[in-house]
Amino acid sequence: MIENLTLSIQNLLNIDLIIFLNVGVLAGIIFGAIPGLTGVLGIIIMLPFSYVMEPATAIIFLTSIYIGSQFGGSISAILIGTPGTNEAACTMLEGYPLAQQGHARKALMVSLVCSTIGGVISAFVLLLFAPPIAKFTINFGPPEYFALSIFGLSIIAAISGDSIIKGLISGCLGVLIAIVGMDGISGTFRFTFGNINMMRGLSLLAVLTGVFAIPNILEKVQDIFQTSGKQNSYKQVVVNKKEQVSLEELKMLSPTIVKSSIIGVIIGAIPGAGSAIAAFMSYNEAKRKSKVPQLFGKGALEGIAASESANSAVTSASLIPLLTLGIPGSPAAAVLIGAFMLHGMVPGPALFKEQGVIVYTIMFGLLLANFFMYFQGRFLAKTFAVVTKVPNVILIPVLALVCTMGAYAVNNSIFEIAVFLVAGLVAYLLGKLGFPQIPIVLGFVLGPIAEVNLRRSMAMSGSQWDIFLKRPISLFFIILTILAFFVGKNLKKKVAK
Amino acid sequence: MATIRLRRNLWGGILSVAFGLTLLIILIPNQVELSKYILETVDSRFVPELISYLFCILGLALIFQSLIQKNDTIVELSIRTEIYILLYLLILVAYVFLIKYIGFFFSCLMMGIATLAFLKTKKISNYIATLSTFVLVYFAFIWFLKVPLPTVIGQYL
Repeated sequence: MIENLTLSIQNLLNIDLIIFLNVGVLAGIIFGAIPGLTGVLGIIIMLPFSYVMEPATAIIFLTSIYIGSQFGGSISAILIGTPGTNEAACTMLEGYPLAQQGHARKALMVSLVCSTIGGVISAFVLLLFAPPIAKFTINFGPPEYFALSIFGLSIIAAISGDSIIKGLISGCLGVLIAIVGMDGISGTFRFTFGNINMMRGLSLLAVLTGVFAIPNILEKVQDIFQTSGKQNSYKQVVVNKKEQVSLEELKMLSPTIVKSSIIGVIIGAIPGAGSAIAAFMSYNEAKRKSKVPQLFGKGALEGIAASESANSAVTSASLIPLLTLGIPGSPAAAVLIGAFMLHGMVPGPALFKEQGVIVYTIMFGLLLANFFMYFQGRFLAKTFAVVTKVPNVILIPVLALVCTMGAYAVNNSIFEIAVFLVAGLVAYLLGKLGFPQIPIVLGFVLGPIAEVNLRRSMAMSGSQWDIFLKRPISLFFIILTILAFFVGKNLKKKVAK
Repeated sequence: MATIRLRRNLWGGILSVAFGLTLLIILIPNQVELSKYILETVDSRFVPELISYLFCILGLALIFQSLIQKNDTIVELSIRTEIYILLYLLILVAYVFLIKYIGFFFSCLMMGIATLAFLKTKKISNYIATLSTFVLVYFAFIWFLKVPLPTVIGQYL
């Protein structure tokens, strides 16, 4: 472990890594700041650019986008009263009134400081807790892996939006798309329709890009036609460069920051819960405990502190289940699984053993990304304000271009662009009927893992299905799976309230 | 403005059941091969069949929710807007189709111009910003990512 630690710190001194980490943070802030774009979409769009990077650099670059986007969401929330991301909605409730009162800079700085502190606490928790959990999971066999991936799929219950049934159907579709091509165990072909391109299977990146980007692009087109061609006409407030957050104000906010960060870390570590839930819970808690609750909704700094420290505290914590168990803690983590796979790594119990140095480099990189985010936010806040004004008419073709080129780059084949378009069209049509997109990704990633380990378990046990109940860890995950459905359902009801 | 009213759960359920049945009756028997050499309890058809049944069961549950429990949401789609979306999709399909014949560079420039014209943009600055971003992204893929994009003139265009 000590060797891994020292090697990973050496890796961090690599200039390429530092540059890409900063580019990632910058891209994340921009993606988060532009209303309608999200960190998840940012990760997907920037994925092709990570091909030329070392695996650790690539993952740090992509996770930095995620980290940056959490702060970026608050920029548009504060400056134009439109949250760039869902989790920044509470920040908007307090930040926008403050900005209208002429304190935009103060609101942005509180958001930045709290995002940084929340992110740093989260990165430390990841560093502390991930290795021992990974040590425990290292001896998992096929039955445990199968039960674990089924547990991972059960997260669909928590991320299904309005209907768990629709989430499950989306998840099934994801599994079905993933099994196209050659079956790794029997060597037979499935759903290839005699097409040579289909035989190697559908690429994760082309499907991912299509599922997330095409609906986003088409919704932007729809917005333009529904508003008869009117462009985004946000009223932007003035940012006073000289305004700062005083030490006393920070002192006053510190209990809220610590408490909200803890809430964020806990929610982040629960697979499927996500940062919007953490932000809303922390905001409510801050309002409940505040000495001046009447200020909430009119520009309370406590509200911004609670929301921002909580949503940033989710980032690294959501990687705990991802790195140790291969289960994503948030939608962004679900997409990051794909990124790991594209770079030849499979998140889960074996990752720490096989790629220990890389994993530690990633964890330290996350810590570093939060500090760089602070410096970028501190000196570029006014510049970031400009990106919130990028019109949709420019975003639409640029997104379409980057995505098609990204899809092409997977195998240098136009077939991948066709996959991108078809996957996107299907996701768009399903979206119209209320089917969520994230379960498609979960099904795509976890479905084949579940299938392979189910078949290996059957071979191991001589076709005895009770093998999953006889082994304590797999039994534990099966019970957890059943519980996850009910907890996910109740959690959603609470958030809806 | 003409609209279509869509009952989300009902139509979602009908689609799911129809897809599940198509998989079970037509696609799996014809498109999922069984190994002649390996005998497995859980063979290559197990998961596709399981998924097909799930599509049918979950789809029926959605239909039940809609028709019996009266739990459904109705979405109103504007036919005009949907036609615009379809037309934009056709622009994207044409762009992909043209790549083979006029190369990535020219087809993406055409897509950019077509998109802006389709979105009724008149500002020259939007055209300049979009097309210069296109050129930047194009050469970033060629030089930085070393992706051999299809060309028709020389090495780069």
